[in-house]
Amino acid sequence: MNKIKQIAPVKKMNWFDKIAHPGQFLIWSRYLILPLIIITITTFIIGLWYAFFNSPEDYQMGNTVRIMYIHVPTAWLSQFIYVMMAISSIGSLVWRHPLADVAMKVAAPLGATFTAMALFTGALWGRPTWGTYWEWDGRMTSTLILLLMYLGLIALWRSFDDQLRAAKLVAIITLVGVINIPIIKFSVDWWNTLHQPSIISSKGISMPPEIYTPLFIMLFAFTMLFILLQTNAMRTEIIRRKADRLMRKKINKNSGAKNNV
Amino acid sequence: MFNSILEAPIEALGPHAIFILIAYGGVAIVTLALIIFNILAYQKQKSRLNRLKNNNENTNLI
Repeated sequence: MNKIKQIAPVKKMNWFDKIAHPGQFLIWSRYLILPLIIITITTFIIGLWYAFFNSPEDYQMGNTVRIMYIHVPTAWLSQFIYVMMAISSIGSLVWRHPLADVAMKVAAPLGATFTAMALFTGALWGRPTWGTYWEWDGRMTSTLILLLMYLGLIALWRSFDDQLRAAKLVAIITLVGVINIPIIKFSVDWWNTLHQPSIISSKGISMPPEIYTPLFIMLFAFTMLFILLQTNAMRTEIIRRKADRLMRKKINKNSGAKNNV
Repeated sequence: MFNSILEAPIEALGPHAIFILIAYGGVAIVTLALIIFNILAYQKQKSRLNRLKNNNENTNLI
């Protein structure tokens, strides 16, 4: 009697599996790059034009208020990228999704750069406004800790040859470090600080439209820039892993051939 | 020459113009470096993959 083999039913890929598969991502993300470049350049041109030629001076800070149009977006990105990395960490730990690993890995250097830019522009804004480049208060110290965390995560990625083990460890540490984000956000409410409070609260936006319009355009422009850089960096990392796999395959093949001889 | 280029914005932006120019200049330089690095890294990996694929095909032919 013939044995009937029981074959496990093949799981049909849902839409999420399809778009999140690294190979599929390489295909569809190719069409995203050009529109993202156009949107980013256009919004930067409009935002900078507003920032320099179509927004008033502040009655106290004068023209230095214009630093806000680059300081706030970079500070926003420094936190947004970390939250995105934390979400990717969950994807990596719970679903072991390779695209989540990739997203997490390539976001860290971008996050570190935007955090460094936020600290740099903040210091340059602080000197004429507060009379000092740096103050060890809650907002600035927690942002510096965020930068150190990014640098630590980058170092951790680089210290492992086995990328799967590195991803696991980095994901856990990223999730632990996410506690710093609400500390940065609420530090201006919890402690006495030189730093001004949040501009957006439950009471609304605490600035006139002539100032918040360029600010929001620049926020959008920087976010688009990050999405563009992140998409391209993810594509690079997927291709690098593909090339590494091919290289390993070739080495194994060669060593197998030598052993046979 | 450099002074004459900077003269107009410094005059327009007032006494703290230097802080504004360094902030914007610094961010512009770092952003450009980020973009260039991003593109170069992509090109490098892409050509590496193509080279490996071509090598593989040649080995298979032999």
